[in-house]
Amino acid sequence: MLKSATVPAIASSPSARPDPITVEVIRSFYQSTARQMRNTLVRASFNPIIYEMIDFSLGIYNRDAELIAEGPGIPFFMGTLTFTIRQVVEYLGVENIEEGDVLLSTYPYWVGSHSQDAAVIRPIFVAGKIFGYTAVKAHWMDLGAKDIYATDTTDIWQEGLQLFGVKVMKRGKLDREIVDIVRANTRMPDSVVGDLTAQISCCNYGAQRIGELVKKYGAGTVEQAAIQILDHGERVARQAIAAMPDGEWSVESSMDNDGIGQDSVPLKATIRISGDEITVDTTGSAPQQVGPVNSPFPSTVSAVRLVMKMIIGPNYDANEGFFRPLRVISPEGSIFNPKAPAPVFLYGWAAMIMGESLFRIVAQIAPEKSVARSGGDLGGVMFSGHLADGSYFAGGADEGCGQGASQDRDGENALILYSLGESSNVPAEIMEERWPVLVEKYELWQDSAGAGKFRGGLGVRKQWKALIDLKLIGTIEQTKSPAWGVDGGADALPNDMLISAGLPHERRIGKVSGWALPAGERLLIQTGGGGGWGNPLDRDPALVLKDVIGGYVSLESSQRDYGVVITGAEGSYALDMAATEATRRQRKAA
Amino acid sequence: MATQTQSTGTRFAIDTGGTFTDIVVLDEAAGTFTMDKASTTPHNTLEGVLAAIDKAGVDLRKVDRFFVHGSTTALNALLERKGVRTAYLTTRGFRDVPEIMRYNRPEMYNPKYHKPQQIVPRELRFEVTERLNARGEVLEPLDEAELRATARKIREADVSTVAVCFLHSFKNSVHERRAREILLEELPDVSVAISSSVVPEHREFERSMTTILNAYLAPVVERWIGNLQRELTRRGFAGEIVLTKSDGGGMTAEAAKGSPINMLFSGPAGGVIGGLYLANVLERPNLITMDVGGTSFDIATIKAANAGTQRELKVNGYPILISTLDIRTIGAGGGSLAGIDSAGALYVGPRSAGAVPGPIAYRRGGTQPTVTDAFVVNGFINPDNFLGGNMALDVDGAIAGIREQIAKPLGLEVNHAASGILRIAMSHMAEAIRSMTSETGDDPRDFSMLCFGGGGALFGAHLMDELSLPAAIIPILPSAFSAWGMLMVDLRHDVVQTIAQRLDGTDARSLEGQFATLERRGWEQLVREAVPEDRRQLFRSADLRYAGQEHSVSVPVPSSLDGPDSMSKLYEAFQSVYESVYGYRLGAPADIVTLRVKAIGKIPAPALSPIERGGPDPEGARKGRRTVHDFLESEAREFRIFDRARLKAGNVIVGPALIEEATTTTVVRHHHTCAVDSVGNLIITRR
Repeated sequence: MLKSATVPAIASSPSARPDPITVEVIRSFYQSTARQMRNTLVRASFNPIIYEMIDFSLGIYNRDAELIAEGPGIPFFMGTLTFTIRQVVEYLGVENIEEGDVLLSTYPYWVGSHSQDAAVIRPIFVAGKIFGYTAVKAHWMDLGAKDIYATDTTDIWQEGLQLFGVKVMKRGKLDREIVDIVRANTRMPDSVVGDLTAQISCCNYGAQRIGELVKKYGAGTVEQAAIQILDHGERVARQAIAAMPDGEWSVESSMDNDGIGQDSVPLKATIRISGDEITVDTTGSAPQQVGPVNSPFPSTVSAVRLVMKMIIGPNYDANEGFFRPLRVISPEGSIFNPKAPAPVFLYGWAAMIMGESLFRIVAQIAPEKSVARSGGDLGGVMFSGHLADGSYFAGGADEGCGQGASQDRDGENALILYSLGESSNVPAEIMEERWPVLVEKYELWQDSAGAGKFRGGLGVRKQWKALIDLKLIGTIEQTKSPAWGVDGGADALPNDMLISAGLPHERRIGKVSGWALPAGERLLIQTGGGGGWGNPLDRDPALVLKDVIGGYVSLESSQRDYGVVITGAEGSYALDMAATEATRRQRKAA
Repeated sequence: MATQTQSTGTRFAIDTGGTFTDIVVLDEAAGTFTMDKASTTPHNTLEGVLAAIDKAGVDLRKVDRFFVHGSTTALNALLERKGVRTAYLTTRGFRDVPEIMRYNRPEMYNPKYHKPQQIVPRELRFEVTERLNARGEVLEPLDEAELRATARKIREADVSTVAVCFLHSFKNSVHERRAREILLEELPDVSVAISSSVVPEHREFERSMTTILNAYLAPVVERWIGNLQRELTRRGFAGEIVLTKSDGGGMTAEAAKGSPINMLFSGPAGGVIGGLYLANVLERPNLITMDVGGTSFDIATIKAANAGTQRELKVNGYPILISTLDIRTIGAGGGSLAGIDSAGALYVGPRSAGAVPGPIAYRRGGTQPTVTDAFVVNGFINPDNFLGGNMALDVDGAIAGIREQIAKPLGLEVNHAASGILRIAMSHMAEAIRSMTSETGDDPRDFSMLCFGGGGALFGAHLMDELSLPAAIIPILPSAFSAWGMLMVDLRHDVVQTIAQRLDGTDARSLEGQFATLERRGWEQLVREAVPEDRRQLFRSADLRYAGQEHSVSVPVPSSLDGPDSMSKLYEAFQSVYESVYGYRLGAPADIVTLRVKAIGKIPAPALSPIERGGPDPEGARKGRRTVHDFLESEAREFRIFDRARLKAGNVIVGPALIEEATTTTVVRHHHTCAVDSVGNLIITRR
């Protein structure tokens, strides 16, 4: 230890609460350690779903598995590992966990998502007792499922290898038998075992750093500081909730289907605010489904937590304290709290859709914090096939959608869904370099946005041609539920996928597994626009003219939806203000 | 040209910062440096540059080389959207690529996140029928009649420049080149930039954006450089102007006019260039450079006397495919604001008081305590010596600000509150360094730290302890070190070509031919810049990745690829670089993605002249003593005060001590010693 590491007397007394300066230094250390754990994982992981799509979640927890600091991963997993740690530790028995053990779970009902999201947990020991945990779950390429991705499973055993909670390291030593079980249950053993190793390194790194922190300040001080960090998060959240009105509001949404049947699946959420506390209750949503769209309760909670953070604390590093004033209620046996072994492969969609619907309530009670709805989906398509030399390949891409307008600005065009954060597209040049496809069109989808005083953002139209015979998996949702507008703003166009586009046998399908797309045929994806905000007849006619000149809005739509009269031909469009005012007056009177 | 003359005259460098325009002048015969500062003139930075030259009293007739860096002309034009009206032409079906961008949300939790505003409005984005496939083969020929019709539309749109980017043009530029010919025929007054010559790399969005920004900014930069040349010529300057680039190299004024994107982020590069020079001189090949300014803390690593670079720069949300030094920035500096948030926690930064209103102690209207105020309150900064005594600091104001806004609400002594501000600022800095090294898998303890900027010398000793670094080094002229570093720059040009193909299907002879073509282009550029042959250098590298991965690593390539095993050697070199970055090797097939040639034109660096030698005893430079509250200690201590200008080579200062110079103060903690080296650098180590 350094001579310079002496801590000022005001912070060194174990009985005293650490002063606010020490608390801030320790908070900053925790946050930075979580970010460095993320760097360690990204650097060492083997698969692009982790190092490019950032499909993981990690954090540092106290001995009660309360989140102290989270590394930036996929936003949708906000705070999810608390559940996992508690379940796995309870299952194994805390008395059976020893220093140097590292735990592994793939059980969806504890991990909170599908079995591919393997969770690794490292208990941190101080003086022979558990002081806290580091934990990470990350999406493996393939683990024991009927296919690498699936939209039509009916139980969890079709979806992946189930491990409740096993010690992948025992007292610091890797358990070869556990690693072998994993290795034997995947089509991509090197990638998966590599990712497991990266996750262990990530947790060990975090645990080591927390060990250094404890050595420097003493366990008592660090523990007290953590209590203050959580209490501070709680105060931040309570202040923000208290600023919102008390009351109870409900919102409904729905999924197109459950991947097996054709019926739409109703979703419902109720927000109750009382003083500085908030409850989100999904009672009234559909029961658990036959198909894989069920959302294990931890994912339901994560989705709600993400929306809460986006609304009241986008710049605050969330911790367990921040979420204390939030209660999530989902009846057991419902789609938001299913019972094993209900299938969960597409666990994310129901919660993402319900989560986004909460913005509709916020638009009423705190409009300045809200936005109209986005296109609401990822436009996800995967495809596979055999190249001329007989080798197998698999590829795929997600698409962005139009974003909802806010009360003072148009929605953004073509962004990834709110729950996916830093996920990116696959550029056309990269698609064609990697896979036998030819991209023919990649553009903004004119008129896809909801009209409004502020209009929504546009979705995209992407058309590509198969150059060899392909098999498709599509996960397109919200093809029947367009983005809603707010305060008189119009709905947008919903998501749409056409297979064999332009041919007599073209088909409109959302969720599909193993569909054949022969060489030479096309796929057209159109992602939904965002909803509008405010009456389109109140939109500044100059902005409508600008949209027509840019081609975001067609001439027909400017007249039909906005009551704006534009004269002249392309290249010399001009506003007829008198006719516009007359049209708008007449429409408003009607 | 002046590059060929021997170094006998004067050269000087100018760094335009947010507040000050720094000038450092080197008298090459004497080997001595002098510095001055003028106020930055944001409306037209040229005024500040000329004011600095006047202030320093430089006789321009004797100057053979003038270096400008941190030239904010291109960056300001981009931020203020003052480029020229630009049209965009692309493959049919793809005109929205610059607006779709990549879908990602850099502000993950902001439901109202917006992309940066479009540079080319949608109605100025045009399409033409043509198509290549991923191998660069023509699927559909360029429709020339259609293009001529489109050109007429572009003429009506009254643009100054057209950026052209066709799919896969980096593999085969035939359509882009033909399109340029046609556009120039149809639009003789408009300039045309094609992506295959600006940046022949794959990924259509990044390539198109780079091409668009270059076209958009070129006329602005050309005008600025023209004005600079005219003003200098008027004052008798007959030497050569060199501008620094984001990658730490230099380019001549003529090269800069056609390549404004390379100037966008040259600001922080000077410090790293100076660091590279000192890494060799001091024989400390591993350095972390840290620059503490008023608003930001910039860090970079130098490993084995090489600075880390990245292949993409992000400016204001836009990606630009150019090589750039890997410099990380956090919002922590002398102006960082301290306060207590609504839920009762103490924070420091990232918001800054900037130059105006500035810290309370500066008497420019600042009312909220800053890091600088905390240094003043705890005795680190001599209120009578600030800016060489030209600015009287308001110590009482700083004390009152910290007492009322921080100490009282938290129930602390005022000095403890000031210590708290400094501890928090320092821990943010330490964590930024840990984050940077954890990304590259480095251990900070293997690095010495080079501290500069107005606040670097104040934080260096504490950061050295916090991170267990072996030494902290305070160079000469620390507060103008970025300008100083500029004097050490070499000309540099990167020539690149994406090929994106499997390595095991690549023939050594054809690869050799492609590298030779790139080398010829780099060489010709150096010839145009009149670099003598013995100072021209070429370096090859290639970006390789495992097949199917997105991320590639940069692998050095030998200057000649011959012999039967040259490709297997390249594969082996790739695996070994990959392992050093990611910690493992896959043994899987690799892709060779991009070929790069770095063409260097060496500019002879000046020799540093030794300062007067003395014995270990520094008492001759002693000014007095002062009570200082070291912010990692609970009790105040007496620090001895030294005047840096009077220190001699060989002096050894035993802490606790402060070493004062006009624009900064160096802290030597109680368990440190500080040695003065032969040229006047301060080397702090633990006892």
